[in-house]
Amino acid sequence: MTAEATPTAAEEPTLVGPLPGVEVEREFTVKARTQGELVRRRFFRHRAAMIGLVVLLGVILLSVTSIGIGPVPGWWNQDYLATGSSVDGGRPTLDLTPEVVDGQREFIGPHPFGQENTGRDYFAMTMRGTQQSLFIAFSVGLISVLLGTLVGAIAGYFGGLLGNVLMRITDLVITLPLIVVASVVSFRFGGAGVGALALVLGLLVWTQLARLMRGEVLSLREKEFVEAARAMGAGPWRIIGRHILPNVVGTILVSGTLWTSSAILLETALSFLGVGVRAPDISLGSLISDYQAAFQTRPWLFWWPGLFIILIALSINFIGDGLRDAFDPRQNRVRA
Amino acid sequence: MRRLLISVGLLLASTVIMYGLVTISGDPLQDLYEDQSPNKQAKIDQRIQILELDKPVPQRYLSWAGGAAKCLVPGLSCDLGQSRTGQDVTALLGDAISSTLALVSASVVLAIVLGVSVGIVSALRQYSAFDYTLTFAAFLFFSLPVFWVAVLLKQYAAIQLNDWLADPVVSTLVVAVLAGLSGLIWASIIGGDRRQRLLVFAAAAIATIATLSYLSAVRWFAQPALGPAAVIAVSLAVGLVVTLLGSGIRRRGVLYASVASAGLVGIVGTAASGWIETNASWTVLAALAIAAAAVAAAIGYALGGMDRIPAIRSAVLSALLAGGVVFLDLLLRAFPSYKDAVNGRVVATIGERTPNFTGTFWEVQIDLATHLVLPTAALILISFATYTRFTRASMLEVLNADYVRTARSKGLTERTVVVNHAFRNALIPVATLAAIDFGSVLGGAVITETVFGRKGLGSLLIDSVRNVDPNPVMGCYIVLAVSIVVFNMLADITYAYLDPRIRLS
Amino acid sequence: MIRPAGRTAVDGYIDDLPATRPEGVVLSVRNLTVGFPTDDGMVQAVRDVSYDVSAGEILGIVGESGSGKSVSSLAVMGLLPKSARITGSATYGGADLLRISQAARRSLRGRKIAMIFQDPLSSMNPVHTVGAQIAEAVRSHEAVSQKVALERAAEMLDLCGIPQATRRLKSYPHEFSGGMRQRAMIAMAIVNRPELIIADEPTTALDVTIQAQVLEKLFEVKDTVGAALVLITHDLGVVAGSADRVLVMYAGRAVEKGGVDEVFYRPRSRTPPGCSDPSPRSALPVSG
Repeated sequence: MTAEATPTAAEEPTLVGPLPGVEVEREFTVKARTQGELVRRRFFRHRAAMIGLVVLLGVILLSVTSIGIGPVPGWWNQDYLATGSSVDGGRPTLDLTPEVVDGQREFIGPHPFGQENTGRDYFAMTMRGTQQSLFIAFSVGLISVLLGTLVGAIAGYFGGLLGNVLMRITDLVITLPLIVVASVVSFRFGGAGVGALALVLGLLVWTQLARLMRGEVLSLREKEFVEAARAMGAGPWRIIGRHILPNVVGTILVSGTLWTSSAILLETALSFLGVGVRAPDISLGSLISDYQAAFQTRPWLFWWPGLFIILIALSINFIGDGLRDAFDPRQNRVRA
Repeated sequence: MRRLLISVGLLLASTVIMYGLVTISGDPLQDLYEDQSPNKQAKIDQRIQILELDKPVPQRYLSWAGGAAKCLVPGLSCDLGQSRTGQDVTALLGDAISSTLALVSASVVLAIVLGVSVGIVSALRQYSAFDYTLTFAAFLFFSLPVFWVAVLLKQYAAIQLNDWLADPVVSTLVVAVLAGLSGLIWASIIGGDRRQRLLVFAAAAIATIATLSYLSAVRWFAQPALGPAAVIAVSLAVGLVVTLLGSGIRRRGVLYASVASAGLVGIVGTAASGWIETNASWTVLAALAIAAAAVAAAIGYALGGMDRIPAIRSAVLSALLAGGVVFLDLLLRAFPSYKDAVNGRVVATIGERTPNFTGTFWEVQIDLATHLVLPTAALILISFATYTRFTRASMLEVLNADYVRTARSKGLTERTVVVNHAFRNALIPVATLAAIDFGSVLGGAVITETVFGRKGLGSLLIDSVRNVDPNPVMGCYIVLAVSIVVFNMLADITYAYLDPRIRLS
Repeated sequence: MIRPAGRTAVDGYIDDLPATRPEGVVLSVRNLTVGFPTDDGMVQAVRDVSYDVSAGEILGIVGESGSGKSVSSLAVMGLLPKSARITGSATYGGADLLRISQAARRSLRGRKIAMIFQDPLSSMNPVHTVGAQIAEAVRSHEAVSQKVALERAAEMLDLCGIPQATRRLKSYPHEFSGGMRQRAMIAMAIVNRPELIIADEPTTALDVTIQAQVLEKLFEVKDTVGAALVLITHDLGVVAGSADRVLVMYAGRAVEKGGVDEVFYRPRSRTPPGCSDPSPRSALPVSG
């Protein structure tokens, strides 16, 4: 991941006046743009990323507003914990096929995602699972970004003994096979609630970013503008904050996004194995695990959570790809 | 050398952490508290004794470490402790390792071969329909949860496939769809102007329709076999294709050597198939492979002419691949009897082999293979996406490099530029990727084993974690950690082989 | 300009080849225009440039970064990306290089027209030996064995001033020093005895102390082989000292053309002093 080694202040090209006797033409009109503007522009042009963004926001909005969050109630009338009797074998009451095709109006019904065997509304359960999984995924992403950037930047900039020690610790964490440690750790803490699980997972995945960070900071440290800042008397933290970090923002964002999508896959996998989010709480992974045997008789119990996991992971991945393209200065999609 | 020591040190430190984590993660006597049987106390005491629960944790760790250290000394037997049921961990590990190894190797090899090839084609046909579809597919696969796919395959694919194999007729709709897809894919890959693409599409579609209709009509999938003619024809074709992709068919020496070696293997293989069938074993097959390679090398040397070394390489590769074709044919011959033995449920979903199954070498291999099909498919899905994307990006970067421009300025054909210059350089970072990916493959294997009931390292691990049983967990951990280190070293070596710039350092 | 005669008595194949060196104009470029589509519209890198190269002469193309000097030569060689829009003509040996088939172009490249690039480290494949890469240039145009091709490669390396040429065949590009690498590139360009060599800033990436040596060598071998040389550079001094004729480019246009004496002592326009001074002048994304 390369970053432009230019200060982030806007650069207006200085116009050299026409030389006597020579006609100067502008070859073309290029608007002067700042680095940030260029990145933003490229990102918003990336269709897949935009679609991903819309879908992700949609899912978040749906899951949060439908059954409410915390003390705030949602607009969905069912509760994910309330059991009851199964209507029509628990089949989904959702009918999205247009009237012209099957003669019935589009219909959402009381149980659009169906019901599971104790009569609980599956839509509410899926929404709850989505909330939990999203929360964990974003927390893990955030923690890993913060920790990774901090450790990597310190190790890269200050180097020396501190840097070495930090890198050794990083290597140590990397050597532990993720799923193994994650299983053990989440088994212990998973029962302590979603927050604890998120924290613990976050503490495991920051290492990749730390390594990347260190590499980039190391190379940026040698660049002239850092030397210039030092010559002007800027302290190390100021240099890191004002000069180095803005140049690695790209790597951070891309890494963070990718790890968030990995996090949701990791968490659902752990919940599936029974060592992640545990009953009575719900995660998309635990839903699939609980109902995998029902595939033949009640397939909807299997499809809906899976669909949501895929939607979330896919949109985050597209967003990440869009960010990566936006920050890559070599990217040159020439329209042939 | 220093790096090795540091790695070992880190490993040691991590074992301490792991042991600690496992022991505090729960109560190993949990399930016994609810036990209603009369000898409940005896069971509890027994377990306390086996797991040394009456001793402090650090002491337990040291006794484990002591036993583990014995593994490093040749001559002393490995003592990795016992599981909570008193089973010897080393024995447990042995079985688990072979199961996981089979699964992981198949997945990694296939994922690399498929992923890299598709990635390269995608890069060469950048911005084409093929490229876009594949990029989207890669993203999709990458976002799929492994366990979901595994369950899906297990419940859905297995049943459907087995039902279909009972009477393998390919419906006209499926034929039409596949023909269309095949046409689109080939047209996209071979490219060219509109007319050429239409021709390729038509040719591919017609070929697909013809093949599928024929296969369907004769119920080939019920009794698949290639037959000697097909084996020889395919072997010769293999020689041709290897040359085409490698040195180019203009290098006649290479062409003759490859086709000759492959053809020879095909002919000899078919002629001797009866003997091979009855005397098969892995040793015999290995010996045959080495013999084939040696003969091929000789042919390459003899017929190579101006291009001795490329001819030898190409001939050996063709011969080995042709050997693979012969192997496949022999395997397929055993298929009908295998099918009868398992009552038509060919594709399996549980375990590594059919319980209490005995049969010929070939039937046993088929049995192992059918049990591997679905889990491998699940595992490949994710790695494949990574390799495709990465190879594509690497290839694109290389194609824009200065030395590719120089190669073109020398007047080399596009094929030479791509194969000799771009491809080799694009592969270099892929080696590093393989090392990183291996870790995630192991992780995925853990999940897949659980779903498919394979008694591999993964399921051993998860079960032991759930039972708060430290010794097997530590055993698995050591094996996994060591294999990651080994794999990393292999990747480093491959990297050094591919990139002369880092060889000296 | 008279150059001292280079090594002519060489043991090897150069003297065995018939001396059918062309007379007169070797390359004739007319109204060459190259544009690249970008997000902001078409960027014209080269506008309506015309020049001739005669047999055996040295044509210097000078201009600052972004003047289009490299792009024009890449266009002639057909090495620009497919998205480039090229109009005009480049006549060589009676055929228009911009319109002939890919196969015809390939047979000319490396054999009749050769190119030397600016950065020898990135211009040579790091995973193949130098000898293999030069031999490759030979074998793609002539049906000879690897052994013979390597022998010729060694000869060329020797001609270009690389000591222990035969041993050096097995070295990788990163094992050479900068100057030696460029000499190897020169060897690769002349191995098939081209009629025209295009050198794109061949010494810019080298140490100042080595630049003169390598340039000397380039002129020497050019004479040995009897080729014309198009020397692209931003260094006016080099051009003034060595070239026969000069083409000055600015912002994609040819602003001065003629014999060296004419242009240097009787210029029509003030060439911006930025020519041999690598300071950035404008926000042009396309570098010459």
